[in-house]
Amino acid sequence: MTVSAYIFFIIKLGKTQEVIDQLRKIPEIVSVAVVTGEYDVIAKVIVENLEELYEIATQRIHMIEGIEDTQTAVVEKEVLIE
Amino acid sequence: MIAPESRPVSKFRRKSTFYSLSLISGIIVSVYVILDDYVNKIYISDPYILGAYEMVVGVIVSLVLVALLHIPIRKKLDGKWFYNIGYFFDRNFRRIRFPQGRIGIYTLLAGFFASGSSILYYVLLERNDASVIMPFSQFVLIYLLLGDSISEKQKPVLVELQSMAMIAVGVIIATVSNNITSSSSSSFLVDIFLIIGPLSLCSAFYIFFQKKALTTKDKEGKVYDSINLRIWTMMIITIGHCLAAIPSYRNGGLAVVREYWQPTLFPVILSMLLVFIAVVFYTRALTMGKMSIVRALKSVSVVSTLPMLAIAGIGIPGLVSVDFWSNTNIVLKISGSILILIGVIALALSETRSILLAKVKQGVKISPEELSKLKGVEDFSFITGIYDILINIKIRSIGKTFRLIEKSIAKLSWIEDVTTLLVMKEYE
Repeated sequence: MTVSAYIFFIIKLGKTQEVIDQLRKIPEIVSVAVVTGEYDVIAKVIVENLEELYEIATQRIHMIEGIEDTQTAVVEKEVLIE
Repeated sequence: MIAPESRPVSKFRRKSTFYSLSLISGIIVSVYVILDDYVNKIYISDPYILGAYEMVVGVIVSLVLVALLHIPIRKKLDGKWFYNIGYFFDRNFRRIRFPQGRIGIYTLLAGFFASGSSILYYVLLERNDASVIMPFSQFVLIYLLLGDSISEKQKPVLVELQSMAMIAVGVIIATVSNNITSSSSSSFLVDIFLIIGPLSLCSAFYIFFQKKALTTKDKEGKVYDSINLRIWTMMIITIGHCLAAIPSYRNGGLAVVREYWQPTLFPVILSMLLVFIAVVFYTRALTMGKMSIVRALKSVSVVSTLPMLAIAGIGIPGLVSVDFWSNTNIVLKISGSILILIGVIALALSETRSILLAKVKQGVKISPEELSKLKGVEDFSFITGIYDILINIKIRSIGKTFRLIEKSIAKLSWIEDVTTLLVMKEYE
């Protein structure tokens, strides 16, 4: 049983592309979207368990230079429409 | 920490599999149309007899393949278990089952309209060569767009109008290419009438009822699968073809099949096998990625048929006419095909994406079904944190996104607040 989560990023001005390039190197991140509004980037992560999510967030994502703030929202239920 | 090779997300392999399946599905379509063209031009010229013959063989081939899909297998894929080969291609497939109730009615109607479009496909194949059949088949997109606009009570947006114009002009150019040596304009007008009228209308209704059959739930709350739908519509198409061929039987049609069954059996079996594989690949690609990209990649068949037919024409005398090699004909065919291809790709890839972050009201019952019924909502997730639901929206313009939020989502009784984030760039 896998765990999905959305990570919302606030990024320092002018660092967006560099951060995206680093995020795309992480295999557990399945999609990255640059958005308008209160966040700058939203990434979707699929991992095996919460322990792995913690490790990726703290050891990989938080190490990327240019990220000002992150918020992680774990998916409780996902509804896909055909 | 899990080893990289056993992780649930194998980004490169999954993505390349997705693109390969979509592209191969498109190329396979070109190959089977050329095989049909070969049998038609060299051996069985009567389109009704050829259609009935191919469909009877097709049903037998499909039943054998479906029997193979029942082979039990237990393996984990993308975090889910699948229990037979068929489940690998369609997650809703368990076994052959007769469609009942409303699903049965939709399957019957899908089969009826599929019969109409299939019969007209053979009629047009007899009148034209394979390289223009693929462009013809794209005209249905115009009807689907018009159907969407009428059901949504909204005017088509600019990109939709541009794509519709490109496809329409492309089809006309491709039709002209096949009539350049014809002294009368009646042949051209008949082709145009058949494509714009019955062929595309039958295809549009077929797609509509096929979608209805796949999205309607049965008494147990389960949805139907594409493999069962394919086999049952195939049966109805075969009955339709056999009925349409009755006048031709009296004119010695069966004698032609008896005479040529040996040289044509292998190409017909191969063609029907490829039809089935193309459908299965297309369905599998849809389960792995965006429908718009699958559709755009599959439209490669519009241009891939032309060089393939040219190569086949060199090896098989009589497959293409002498006029096929004229400069005017080739320029017209390429121009028409490219116009249609650009129109289809522009339409498929021009959608705008938005992410909505919604908060729900305390103490009010949530009804996710209301959200899943809204057109444009791709998927949604219940999440932890300051927001309760993340909704992914994909629609053809920002104006339409506004109308969806303002007139539908914001009016749901259990939604308290919505924050909209427009996607400027996306990596997958």
